Amino acid sequence: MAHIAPEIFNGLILGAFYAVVAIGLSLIMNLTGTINLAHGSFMTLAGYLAFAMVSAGTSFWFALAVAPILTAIVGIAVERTLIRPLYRRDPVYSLLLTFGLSLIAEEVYRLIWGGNGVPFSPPPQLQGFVSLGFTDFPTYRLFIAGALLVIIIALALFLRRTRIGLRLRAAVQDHEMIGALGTNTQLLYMINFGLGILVAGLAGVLAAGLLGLNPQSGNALLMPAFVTVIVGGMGSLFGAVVGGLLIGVAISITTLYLPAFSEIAMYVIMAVVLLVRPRGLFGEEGIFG
Amino acid sequence: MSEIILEAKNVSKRFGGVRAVEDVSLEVPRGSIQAIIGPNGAGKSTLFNALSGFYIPEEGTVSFNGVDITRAPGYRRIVMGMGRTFQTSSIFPNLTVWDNLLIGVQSAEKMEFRLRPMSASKRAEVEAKIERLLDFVNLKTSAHRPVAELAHGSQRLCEIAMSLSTDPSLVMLDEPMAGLAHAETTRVVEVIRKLHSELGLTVLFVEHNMRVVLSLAQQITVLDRGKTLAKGTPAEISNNDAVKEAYIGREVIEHV
Amino acid sequence: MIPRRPALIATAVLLVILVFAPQIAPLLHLATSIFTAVLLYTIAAMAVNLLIGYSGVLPFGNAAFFGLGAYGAGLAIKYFHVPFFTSIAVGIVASVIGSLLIGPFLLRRRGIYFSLLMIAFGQVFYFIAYRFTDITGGEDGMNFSRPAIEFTKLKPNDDQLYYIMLALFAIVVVAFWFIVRSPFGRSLVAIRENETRAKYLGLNTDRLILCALLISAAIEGLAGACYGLSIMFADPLMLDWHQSGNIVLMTILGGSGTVLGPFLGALIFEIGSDVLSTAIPWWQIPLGALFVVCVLGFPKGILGTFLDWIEKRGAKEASS
Repeated sequence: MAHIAPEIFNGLILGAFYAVVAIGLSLIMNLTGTINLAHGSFMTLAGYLAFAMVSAGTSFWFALAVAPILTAIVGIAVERTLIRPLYRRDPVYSLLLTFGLSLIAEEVYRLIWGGNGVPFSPPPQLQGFVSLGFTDFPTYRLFIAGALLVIIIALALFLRRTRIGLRLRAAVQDHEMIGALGTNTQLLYMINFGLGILVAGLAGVLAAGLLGLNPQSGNALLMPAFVTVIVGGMGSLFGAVVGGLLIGVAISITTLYLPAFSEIAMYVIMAVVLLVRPRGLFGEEGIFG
Repeated sequence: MSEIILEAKNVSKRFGGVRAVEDVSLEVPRGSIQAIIGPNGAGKSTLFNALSGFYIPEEGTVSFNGVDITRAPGYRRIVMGMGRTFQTSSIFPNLTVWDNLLIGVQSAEKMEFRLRPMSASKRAEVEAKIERLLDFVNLKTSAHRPVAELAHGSQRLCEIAMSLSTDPSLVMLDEPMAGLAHAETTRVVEVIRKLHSELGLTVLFVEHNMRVVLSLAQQITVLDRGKTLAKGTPAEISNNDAVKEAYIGREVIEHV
Repeated sequence: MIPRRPALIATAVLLVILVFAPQIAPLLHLATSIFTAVLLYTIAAMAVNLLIGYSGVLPFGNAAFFGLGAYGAGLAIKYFHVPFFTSIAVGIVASVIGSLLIGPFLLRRRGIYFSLLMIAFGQVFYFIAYRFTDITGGEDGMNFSRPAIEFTKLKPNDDQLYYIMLALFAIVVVAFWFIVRSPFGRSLVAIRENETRAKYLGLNTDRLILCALLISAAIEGLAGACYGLSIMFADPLMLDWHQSGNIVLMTILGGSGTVLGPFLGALIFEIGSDVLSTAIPWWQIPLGALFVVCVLGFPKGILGTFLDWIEKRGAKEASS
């Protein structure tokens, strides 16, 4: 049993990453129907920006705060110029566009920072281990667990308690009505996208120190995040959290016992969930079919 | 063949906490024209959708020709002999009127999965049927124009023709007068009348336009706040105080 | 629509290029296999077109069927030593089985959710190919030889392969043309135009879409199997969603909803990426830019935009 505990904890951390990325994806998908295949690229961007800042001498904390914001600004610029024209059109176009962006991004990162990745270590305060009684656990991982938890709670509060958050949620239910109520829908879409990218950026910086930073590191989290959205259910942020944790733990445990099947574990879960509940665990009916 | 073609028994449908339709029963005799009316929010559309398979009621049963169809998917009901139109004309906008009708006709001939082209004789049959449908609604001249280009009234007539293309015995019309100008209304009313008088079909329709309702329907069911308020002939309903009160309290009826 | 003369000339030129490709290729410093690839990707794009252009669903996971075709053929050759056309048949069967497995899951949803599910399920096959290294060669892929044609000892070389593929291509084009004009094809268009109305005309839309998926998978499996035979190699990247993206791009680039569009798209994409990738190491940037430009600038694809332009010119001349 003692063997499993650290794996389960690792799985929860991994799952929390999936959940956070899935929430960002969900926000963008639910409101505008855009499947953002460049989501991983934004995560990687935040990681590289943080790397650049730390290399230039700033503290990790500064980079953790600023890199996601810069990334969100880039995201908003992309939304305004490239994605906005596609809202009225068939969703295949936004899929293709974001896909193209991810290709460009990956190559750009390769050109600037090389194809083999760059080292990104957590700051000295977060290195080392913490004794948890039954095992010693890397401090950085505990920090990440805490940070992701804070992000998720902050998001939940934002969406449920602030005016903007409520408008975002209302807009998902009914675009026309929210427009009729005098809300500037274009502005709302922009904020929504920016929020999704901000969350991705935070995850990206945190992941850099844990999972490594190379031109494709963000994309590695993207597929599990998609599966998390499906398992948790479209339109449900709570579902994204539950789904992410479930998948994270499943992957961790499978890696321990059946390493060859670790990635397939999440697809098996997805298939099983879909058979039993086609909408996902907490999915809501009628969100984009 | 049973006397009652469509029957709803104690149908209830909820949306979240709201009971849109509560314990409503309805009998549509074969060969009749019946209307469902009621002020806004009465649950007419919900009931209509439950009858046609768009929603599944939580309680109650719906049967067609004596067969329980409460949970049957929409397309099954069409195959069994129902046809329906929608409040905002549900058509294939970029296809011509002809092609709009073709889809339904080939479905009635059970050819919708067919990969080989139709045989020449079948093709002639199909074309003749489409011509008859076009004649019935008087859209022959617009046959090869995209439906989206037609005026609302013509689109509505095209949709009615489409609902006929699958050889139904019951035609359900959801607010057929909605969004039509006065001149168009007359045309559509005539076609609906012909559905009953010339083709002998059973017609069930939801409508706000009281003049149309009173002139076309043989039987009227009045809903209010999800429940049945009254049932009767046009004469009985016009003189029903409870009905008048329900309307005055909530909206102004179109006394065109 | 298109004026007679230019259309006939264009078709003639196209036929010349197609028939004499193995002779033209060396003049352009290209291998014949590139033209073979163009034909096969056109077939794949046509398969995708059946779903996007005609049924209105987004198959952004379609590469799974392409890859299943390649692996099906490759595995059959490597472990069972089947001859040429049998290997293609196996590839098609593998692909269709794949679509039968994931189809029921996809049918519960439409729109972007359908796409999402398809991407995810497509990746399952990717991981199977990636992980079962003993059987499939894993990340490095699987080499296999080109088998002889049934009842002969002839192992087609690249040029001969090209002509066999050209024949298959012609068959698929004709079949596609028939499918699109059949009652079934019309049913698909009805679903794309207004699925609710299609249902309320008695169409079992779920089953129709499943059929479209099966046919699309079969066509794509054919393309994949032939592609594997062409390069005598199958690797997991053929199943990956990047491959899906490329094929969907070819469909859109040329112009979805037309029969010729995918060919144009495949031609531009294949030759373009071949030329670019040897010329500049960062060729992924113009490739990605192509996606962006095509989506924003040419929504109807190059062919579609060109046809629109011709129609407008025709209208101008008619009115002047």
